[in-house]
Amino acid sequence: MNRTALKFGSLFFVSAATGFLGHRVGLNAHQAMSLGIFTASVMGTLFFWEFRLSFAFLGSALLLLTKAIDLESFLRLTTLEVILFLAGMMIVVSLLKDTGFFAWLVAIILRVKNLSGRKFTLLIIGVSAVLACAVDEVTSIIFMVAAILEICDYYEVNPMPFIIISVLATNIGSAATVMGNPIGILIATKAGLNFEDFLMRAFPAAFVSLLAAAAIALRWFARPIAELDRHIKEMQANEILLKLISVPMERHLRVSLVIFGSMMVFIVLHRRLELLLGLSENTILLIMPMITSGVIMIWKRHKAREYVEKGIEWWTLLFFMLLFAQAGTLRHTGAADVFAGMFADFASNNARGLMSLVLWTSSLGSSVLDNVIVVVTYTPVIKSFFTLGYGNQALWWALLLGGCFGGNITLIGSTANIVAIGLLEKEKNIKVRFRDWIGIGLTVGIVTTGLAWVLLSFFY
Amino acid sequence: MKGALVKFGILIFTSIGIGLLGTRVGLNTHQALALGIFVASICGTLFFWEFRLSFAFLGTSILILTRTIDIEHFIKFSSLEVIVFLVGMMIVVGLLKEAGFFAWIVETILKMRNLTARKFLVAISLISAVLSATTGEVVSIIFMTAAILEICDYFEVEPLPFIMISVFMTNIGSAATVLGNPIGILIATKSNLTAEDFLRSALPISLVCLGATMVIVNFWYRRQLAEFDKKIKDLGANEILIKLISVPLGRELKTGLIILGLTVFLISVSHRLEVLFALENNAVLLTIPLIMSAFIMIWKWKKAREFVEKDVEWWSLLFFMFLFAQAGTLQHTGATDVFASGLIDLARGSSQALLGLVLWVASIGSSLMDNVVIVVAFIPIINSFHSLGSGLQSFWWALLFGGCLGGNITLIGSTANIVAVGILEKEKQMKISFLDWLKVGSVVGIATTVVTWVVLLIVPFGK
Repeated sequence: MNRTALKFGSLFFVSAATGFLGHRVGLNAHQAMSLGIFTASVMGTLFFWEFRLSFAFLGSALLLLTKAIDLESFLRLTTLEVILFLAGMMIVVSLLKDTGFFAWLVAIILRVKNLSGRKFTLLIIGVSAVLACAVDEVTSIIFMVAAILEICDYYEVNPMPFIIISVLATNIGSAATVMGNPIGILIATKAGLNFEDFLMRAFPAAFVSLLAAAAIALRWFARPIAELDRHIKEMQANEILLKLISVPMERHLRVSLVIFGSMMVFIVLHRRLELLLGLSENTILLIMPMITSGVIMIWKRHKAREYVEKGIEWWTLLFFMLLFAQAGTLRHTGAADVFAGMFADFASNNARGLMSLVLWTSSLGSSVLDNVIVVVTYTPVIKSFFTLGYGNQALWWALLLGGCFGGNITLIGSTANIVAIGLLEKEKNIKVRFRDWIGIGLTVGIVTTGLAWVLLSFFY
Repeated sequence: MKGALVKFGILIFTSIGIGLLGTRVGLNTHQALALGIFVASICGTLFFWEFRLSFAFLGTSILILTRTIDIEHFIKFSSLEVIVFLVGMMIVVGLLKEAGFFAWIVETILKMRNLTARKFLVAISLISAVLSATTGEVVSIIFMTAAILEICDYFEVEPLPFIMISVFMTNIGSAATVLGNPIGILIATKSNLTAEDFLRSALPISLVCLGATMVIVNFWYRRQLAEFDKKIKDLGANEILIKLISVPLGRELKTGLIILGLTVFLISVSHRLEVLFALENNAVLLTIPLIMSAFIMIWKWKKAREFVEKDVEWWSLLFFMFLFAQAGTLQHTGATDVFASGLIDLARGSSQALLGLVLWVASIGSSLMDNVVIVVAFIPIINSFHSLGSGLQSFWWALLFGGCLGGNITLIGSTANIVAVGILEKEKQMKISFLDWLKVGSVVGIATTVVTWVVLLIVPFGK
């Protein structure tokens, strides 16, 4: 109780101080208010994870009641289109889960012929990354963990190294497309970037980083991989496993794959279709999940309610919505412009320096905070850079890559990490300690961020 | 399957037909499209209740793809403020359930001393109305049904009449405040009416209707009431029942009561606070549920996630959001202006005639479909009346009362009806036919609508 009071005290103190400090450096009352409340929301997620929605509710109410922002602008800044995109995607993912897509995928991994330690490692890296960028990181990691535990159980090896490898690949892969991570679609909407831009910029960066991570992981976990190899040789290949598991490709699974596939095709082509139909930017990207889930709910009408009520993470989405609006308020009140202006001298002379700053701070920031929070904090400031004329598309990529890659550094760096560790603890009673993670996590996190930095500095 | 196909065919045909008809009477392509899709959504809720969300999703996508509306306006019309208000209130009600508030209410009814049939009738009427005016009709009816079944079981009388009475009162009571019904808050935000306006205008009308209904059911069910009285005399009063049940007024419950009281109080004075702090209209009204639910989620932090995930009706809210946006599109494209001027012509410019039109169409319409759908369809039209210069505040009240009172006419007129009938069927295997409901429902529905009409014609609201 005493600790809670202390935390609460420090939260209150820091937010008030930030607001006040902001006031001293030239923010007006509304700007300082929006800054203080945003700080309180961010700190609230850090100290009081369970209370984060309450903090977001109260903060938003305070912003409205102090007239820091009017209701209409506040509602516009909730970026409801992103929330609906995520909700639609969650319905699609529920369908995929329901029709056994992931079980089928897991079965495919389990049934690979002539398995070896190295092959298995590369396979889980590849599949984790692809799943993460096509579906989303959390769903991806849940099923990858299931597959890995199954195999490791069979061969009686410690699953922890492989789980860590899968998490690393998931976080890296989630940067590759718009759908991989909530920050992807958020950045796409705010920056007006389309899927093709992601394919041209984010995808190569994620791919290169994935290769680097794979190389590091193979070296770092050489011993566990060798051990798995030995066990495989001793026990023969996975013949029995092959016979045990066979998920047939049922009609429902096939139909759901077709639905998912057509959605992907439209999302990939969204820019061209928008041009063709004369629609404004990202319209098709944003409504594609809505159309798809509309079709899904007609097809699976008995499950529709369940998909909407259980499949959609309303708690998180509600929090995101208010967080987006609070960050938007920073820009609305002009506080973000003031900050951006402070960096103006630095930025005008040194575009690369600015990019490096964004990349490294967002990477380190998202190693301790939810990456959505980091990105949401930066978005208004980067937009202000654009208004002030120092904008550069590379800043958005720096934000995206930093936000995703930084998640690997610590064991609480991203949702995927937390979920995987939770599953490992629940299923196998294996606890991942901080020091189990930090060595490989830090190495991969720093190396991939470094790679991103090189790419962004010299190629984009 | 074949039935579904026919329905689907009718739906497509009707929507396209209406869209085409629209172009004939002077709508442009976008207006006609917006109209056709909106009609499809409404028909969708009528014919394919389970698919309504899909229809809303797909219809909206078509509107966006055909550039009838862009995403930015679509978001603006989705009335997120109403949705967030409802989310907050649902969390508050979730807490009340959790704290045993409703069980306590049920108990106070069961423990009434010197019970007589008339007394019981008045008690369930008032409590149903008050509960639905403060916590929403659906929650109210669920708990009222539980209480009524308990009492009727004990005295071995048929519960159906009393359940129907409770449903009628719930629907009438839900018109009294902004909290009672989603259409209340929707109308408040769109018309800039405050919670106080509701207390000043809607509450009295609702009370008059309540009185009228009490007279009607008292006469209609005179035999059942007499029988109930006889049973009470035979069995003695409910002494045993009183001893059997006792929910003490615990600390949780007291806190819950304080929270509800505070919410209702703050909401009713919200406009004064807005004026005091020079805030825009409804800024306080809309943030109060947010603040209240935030405190609830801090207090009950272990249950917070459950409140958000289980007690908030996301499915309906998502549907509402899209429906609001589609109706907004109608207004955005200007289609409603065309209708509004058509209606004004029809009424020959007389606002009294127009008022009657709104009231009756809303009432009859919401006896067949969800009242939110009707109200959403009417709001842009009434807005157009206002912009065309023949607007009256009474139109909004006509819409509100039509939407709530019409729900009594049929078995499927409002969510409360459907829920109550469902519970009765599940618990007691008692079925009620559409016609049986219609007999008494239409008398109550039409009588109360007439009463409202008279009041709206005589009393000059908002002048």
